[in-house]
Amino acid sequence: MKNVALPKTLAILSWETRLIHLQDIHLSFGDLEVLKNVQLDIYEGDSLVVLGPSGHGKSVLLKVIAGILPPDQGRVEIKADKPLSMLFQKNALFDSMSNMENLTFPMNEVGIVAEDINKEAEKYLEAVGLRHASQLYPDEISGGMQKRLGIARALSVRPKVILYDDPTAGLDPITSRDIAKLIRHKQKEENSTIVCVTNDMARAKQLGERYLFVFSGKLWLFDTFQELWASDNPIVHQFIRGLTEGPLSEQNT
Amino acid sequence: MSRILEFQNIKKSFSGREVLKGISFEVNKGDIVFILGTSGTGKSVLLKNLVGLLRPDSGAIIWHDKDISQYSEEQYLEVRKNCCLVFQQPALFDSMTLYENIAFGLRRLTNLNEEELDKQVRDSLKAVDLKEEILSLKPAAISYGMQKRLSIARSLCLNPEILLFDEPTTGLDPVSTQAINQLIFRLSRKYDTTSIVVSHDMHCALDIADYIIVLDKGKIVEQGDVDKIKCSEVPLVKDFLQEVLDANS
Repeated sequence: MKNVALPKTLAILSWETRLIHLQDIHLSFGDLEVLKNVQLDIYEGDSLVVLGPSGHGKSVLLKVIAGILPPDQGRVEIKADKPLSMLFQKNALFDSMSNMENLTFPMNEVGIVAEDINKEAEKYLEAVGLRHASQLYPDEISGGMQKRLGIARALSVRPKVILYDDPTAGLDPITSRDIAKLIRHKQKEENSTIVCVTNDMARAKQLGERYLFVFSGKLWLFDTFQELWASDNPIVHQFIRGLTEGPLSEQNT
Repeated sequence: MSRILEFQNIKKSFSGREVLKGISFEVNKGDIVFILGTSGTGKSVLLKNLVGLLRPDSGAIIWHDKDISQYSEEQYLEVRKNCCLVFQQPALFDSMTLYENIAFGLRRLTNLNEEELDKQVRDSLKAVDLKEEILSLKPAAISYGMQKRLSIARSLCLNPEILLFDEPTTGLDPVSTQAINQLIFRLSRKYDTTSIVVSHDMHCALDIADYIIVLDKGKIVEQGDVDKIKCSEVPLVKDFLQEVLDANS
């Protein structure tokens, strides 16, 4: 058995490398059941891409993992020594702070130890190509630059797990591709774990190793992009190809 | 095919930074024209110049043989009634029912009686594949995709000559993107409306456009029909095309 080469995604899935464990999660808003009996394990080094139609609970799932939304039932276990950070869909930058302060503020809050916190923050601004804009404010830079600033802020607290909520939404494909490249590059460099929500299949392919499809509060996992693409689940099939005919269209009307 | 609109050497600067550096193109009646480009290249600025929300520093915009760029605010009302802009965000009035959202423009810009107005509201709703049961709801009660459709109905009900779409599929999932794209196509053909679509979705453009204009840093770097764009040697266009290939393989 030892000589059988396992795909990387399978090789990393073991009890010791499990970072996050969701067990029997239920969450409702009023009558709307958003997550139903959800089970999910996320492992060290994972690149998990979360897909699914709007309004089916992708962002809710991220917020449950991040501890922003407590579930009605169930357990969220995260290895205690693994700090976690999140990039919000709309960046959620502090608009009264300079771009530099947007980094140093959370760094100070979580107690990052550095000889010179500004110099340390500059390294992350440099990594996302924003060093020249450190003294500007978020509303003085473009949407793509704001995204990159959000990513720098998420990275600056040295997390082991980063949750990205649609990191390329509203950006043009060329900028999107560069942002996805940056996310993967930093992940490999820092050896971190990422969970990315996206609706863009080109980005999904670029960012993911494993894929999670969220639909009607349920989760379907795929171990590779090929497996996702080949899925005979009619909902997944229609969604990833963006077909107009199919079960998703019937549901919408 | 007759020409309905012409941009002649349009230039526009913001505090010394030239955003549009001499844009010229023509739009034929009934065509679906896509204006593509990366973020911040002046695509939306171009649309806003057409409806008079911004005025060009120089150049002319010819609509029905008249240069509308010099029109007064009052004269522009006529242009806006005929060139309806569908905003990037649905921009619905959240305190009004969906019915009132559609009726709002009709009440302000037309002299229809209540019966005619009611018919117009329901017809436009049907045209965007929404059901009448939702008319009494408020925007917050329907999904984002439905809000987008409703904002199209709101523009459509005025029977405009030209429909302008500012990134109609941004933020939508692949299925809703395809549905809105097909909707633009069907509406344009059914009502013989001319559509100008600002977008960065090359995939959508290749699917339904009659004519594609590619902007880069305030200049047109390529324009032509789908076949011409597909064979373009312009690096930015090739980059956009590559993205479509990557997403579909």
